[in-house]
Amino acid sequence: MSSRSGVWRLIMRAELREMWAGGRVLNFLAVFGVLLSITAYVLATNNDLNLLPLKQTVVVALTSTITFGLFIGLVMAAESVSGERERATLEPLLLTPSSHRQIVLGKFVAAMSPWPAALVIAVPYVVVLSHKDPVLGVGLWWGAVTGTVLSVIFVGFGLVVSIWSDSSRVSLFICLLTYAATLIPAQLPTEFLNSPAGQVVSALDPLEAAGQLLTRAVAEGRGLSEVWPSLAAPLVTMVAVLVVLFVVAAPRLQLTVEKG
Amino acid sequence: MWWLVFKREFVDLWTSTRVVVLLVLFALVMSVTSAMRQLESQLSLIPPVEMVFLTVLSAISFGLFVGLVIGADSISGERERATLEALLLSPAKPRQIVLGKFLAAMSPWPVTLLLAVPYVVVLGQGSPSVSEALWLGALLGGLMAIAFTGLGMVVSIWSSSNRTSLFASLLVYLIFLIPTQWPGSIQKGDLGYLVQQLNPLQASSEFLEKVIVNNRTVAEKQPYLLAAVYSAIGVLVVLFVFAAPRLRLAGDAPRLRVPRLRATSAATGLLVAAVVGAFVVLPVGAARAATGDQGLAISMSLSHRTVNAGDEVEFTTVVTNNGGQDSPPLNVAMNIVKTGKGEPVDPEDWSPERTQQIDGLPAGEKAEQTWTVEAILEGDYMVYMTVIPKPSGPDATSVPVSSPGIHLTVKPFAKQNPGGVLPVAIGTPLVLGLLALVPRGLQRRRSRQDVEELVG
Repeated sequence: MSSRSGVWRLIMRAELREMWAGGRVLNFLAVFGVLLSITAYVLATNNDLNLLPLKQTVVVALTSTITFGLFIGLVMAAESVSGERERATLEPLLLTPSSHRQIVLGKFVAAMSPWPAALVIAVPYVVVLSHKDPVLGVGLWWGAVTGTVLSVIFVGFGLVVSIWSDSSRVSLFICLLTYAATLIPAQLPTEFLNSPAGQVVSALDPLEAAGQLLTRAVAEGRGLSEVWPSLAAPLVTMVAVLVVLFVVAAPRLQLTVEKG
Repeated sequence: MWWLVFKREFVDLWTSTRVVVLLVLFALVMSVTSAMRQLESQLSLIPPVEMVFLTVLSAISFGLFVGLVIGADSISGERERATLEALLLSPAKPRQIVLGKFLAAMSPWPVTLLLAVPYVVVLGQGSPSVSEALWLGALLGGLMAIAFTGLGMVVSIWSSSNRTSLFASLLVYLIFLIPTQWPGSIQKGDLGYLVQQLNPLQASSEFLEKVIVNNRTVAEKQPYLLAAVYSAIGVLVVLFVFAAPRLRLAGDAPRLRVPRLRATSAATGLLVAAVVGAFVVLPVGAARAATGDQGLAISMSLSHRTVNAGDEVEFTTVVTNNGGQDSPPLNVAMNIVKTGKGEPVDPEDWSPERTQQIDGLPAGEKAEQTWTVEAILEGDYMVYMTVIPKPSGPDATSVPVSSPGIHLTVKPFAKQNPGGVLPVAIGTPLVLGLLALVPRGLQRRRSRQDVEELVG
């Protein structure tokens, strides 16, 4: 029983090897580094111009880290099951003695792995931008918490879509469309975002909620008792995604996607 | 021949459910958001013109997204379904095939715009900006649809699978979308404005907002239009001059003199080239006193100063009551005006404190104020102060007194290593890029060993 329950570790190891040694994650992290460098340079310039306060600079650097970082996990997850289905390698996996939930768990943990790497890469940028202000510690702590919650949401969502898609083209399209949709509320006018409907939109959009949480906790220095409403929506979404993934989707993982 | 390809593609596109489903989805999202915006407009007084802008922007964003997805599918999809060979064996030239497919992939854009018209008209509530918003939206949306559909097709020509082309196209789209998440204060300053002007998505949004909402002229905001124009031209040139004639059955990236390009890097390079083509040169750029009718005078400690962007300028003002009576409460307000053409100055960005109050000045008395101006943009400016006496009642007014100006010349931001960020900004991607090369090197070595074993 114990060996069966450890099968997810084997799957995770195989996935990790493919993702990291195959170079896919490293390619993404290289692009991530370029994007973060451009962002950091603009932030440092505008901070020197007194256009952006130091704390806000740290918040934007962390938000960018989360926005870019969780994209990698989402793409890995979106491909993980539908990609195996497409390459006809899902069948041997389903024939192993592991339960479907263990297969999904192994893939889930592996797809989560780019996020800590992205956070570690972002640390030197945040350290330099914060000028070693005490906001650094608070920022990194809240950035890690928020990013991990969001990463679970996006990786879980990517896996759910992948389980229910017959090709990685479909799963990638749906996931990237959803990701793009979560970026849109930030472009809405402030008047709208401050209105009740805007606040609902912000709370429902995990990326927008994370941005607000970081602003309140890091830039405004508010405590947990004041920032929890911004954390509540992502936490509820995270639990819902995990339930859908492990209770609904994973046990129904099939070789083909049943239509209708 | 291109006409036949276009007709076949057009019929395929519109008889399949894909585009229709996407358009229905678009109409649904527009209906819901329009209802929400209308409600919010009544509650929080969002001006109709702002809702017109948002609706036009949504239509453009959706139109270019659909064009990108269809473009990305157009060639690699045929390749994957093994139908490209038959097409290449037809008498049509590769360029004609690409032209036919390109025009068909562009067809959802006018439909999207037509779908958006009723929403714009209703939300505009008779605003005179509606017609201007629609024609500017049509122009800008058309350019963006050309640029992004063309981008999708270039990537599709160079990709062996739909998955690769779709992923590469959407990745480039997201790279352009991500800077729109930055807060407004990052999109200011010379570098912020430059990034904004180079990114077609940001530039289009800024152009539309300023022209439709803020009543700026098209000529004034022209630099923001150039990103879309140059992107469209650049992509068309690459598509029809470079990529289309090299359309092959296999989806390899073209062989250049430099090592072979992969689809993703080709797409990124293409867009970067188009954007760099859109590079827009940003606009380069003893105490005196004034006395008013009521005997109020204001003097400045500075007459002119040349500084670098990022420097602070401190000065003092002295308000004197030279009249025979005590003055009412006074407000001293700072104004900053650009002396030439260019972006108008937002004083909020330039000074943390724009007004100071004085609780009335007895006759013959003086009051001194200290001010700070943060020079954020290169250019030539005039800083002046205005003393505003509080009117005695609702039916009265007062005569403000202006000070002499401080002529402020701001030179470009000179720091090449702001905040010491440069070593990290260069070093980190470099190390990550080298790390990313390791698996490729290992794979190459492994395949070489396999070949040697086979030969041996």
